[in-house]
Amino acid sequence: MSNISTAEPFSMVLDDRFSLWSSMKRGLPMLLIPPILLLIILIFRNFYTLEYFHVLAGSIWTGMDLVLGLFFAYVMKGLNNIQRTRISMRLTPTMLFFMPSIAAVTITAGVYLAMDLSIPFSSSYMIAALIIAAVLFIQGIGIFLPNELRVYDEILHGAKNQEKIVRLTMFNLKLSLLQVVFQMAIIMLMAHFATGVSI
Amino acid sequence: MKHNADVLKAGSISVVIPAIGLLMGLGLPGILILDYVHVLLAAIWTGTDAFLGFIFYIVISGMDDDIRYYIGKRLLPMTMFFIPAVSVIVPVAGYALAVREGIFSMDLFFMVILILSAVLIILSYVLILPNAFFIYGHDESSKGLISRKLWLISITASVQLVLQIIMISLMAYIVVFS
Repeated sequence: MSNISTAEPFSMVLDDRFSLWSSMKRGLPMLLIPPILLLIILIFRNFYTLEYFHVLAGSIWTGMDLVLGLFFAYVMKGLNNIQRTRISMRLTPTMLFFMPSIAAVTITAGVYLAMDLSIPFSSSYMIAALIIAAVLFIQGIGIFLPNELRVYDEILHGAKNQEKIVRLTMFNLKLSLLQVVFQMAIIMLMAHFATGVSI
Repeated sequence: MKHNADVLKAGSISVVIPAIGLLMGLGLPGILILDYVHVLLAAIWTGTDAFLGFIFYIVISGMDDDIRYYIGKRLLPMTMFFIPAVSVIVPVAGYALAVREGIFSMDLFFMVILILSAVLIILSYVLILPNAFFIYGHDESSKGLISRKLWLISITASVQLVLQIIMISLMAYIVVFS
């Protein structure tokens, strides 16, 4: 499928523009901007802005997980290992910084929103939402993030183990799809909170 | 040829599932399912544009036309089917929801929402879909052109994302103040 010559030096074939500095330069704003925005909103404690931020961040998180888990996994399946590794080298630094950040701010904004709306934490809908949020958080911090770090570490050390990079990246793409399932469930609970209609 | 059949199959699923969701929302009484379908599909669409216009831009920059060609081909279920489908389904569900909730009126606020919706649909059907069709209809001999079309799709998605961010602020206004 690929026309890339495997006779070329491996590091050149992969990506000679990758470095710790370049990925930090790209990734740190993605890591820091969402929590800074949330902090500003929480300091001013404006309900409308908090609602807006929660919906926007949640939309980006859900949509991105679906794209990664469904459409991008489909893209990756059609490529060979060198091409997959090159894409992983581009995708990983971005996802490593952005996904934990957007997930954390969505959940945090949601909790503050629930408090502002005086939704009792003992209600069955709220308990269900918190359980799903906890599962999403544990998946993100316990599986997604360590895998991304392992891929990142491998890339920083020259990306010699292609098989490991591809395997972990593909696993994380599948995990994204599982996250979408939980997000679809939590959005149903959000629809209940928004409309007041029982599920 | 086999690839085109795969694209059509995956693309059809990308259209049929949201369409079934819309029909369920419209057919079932009450606002819960309609609200769910509208919010879920809008969220997925926004995230898709965030990915295409933001993360994807970073991923494909610096890549050679060879990889971009394969990515462009494999993204067709999303660019040729899913985005055009949700561009229509989300506003239709939103309009039906506003009517069912009794909050729709032809005032300035809803006019702005309608205009933004129209612009989003136009972007999908005038810029994203034709470029996706181009990618679908051309082979490896047009790698350079396909690569450029992929850039155009990515840039259009980023414009859509900006409009969606504005749109979500209006939606949040409805939820909070109506």
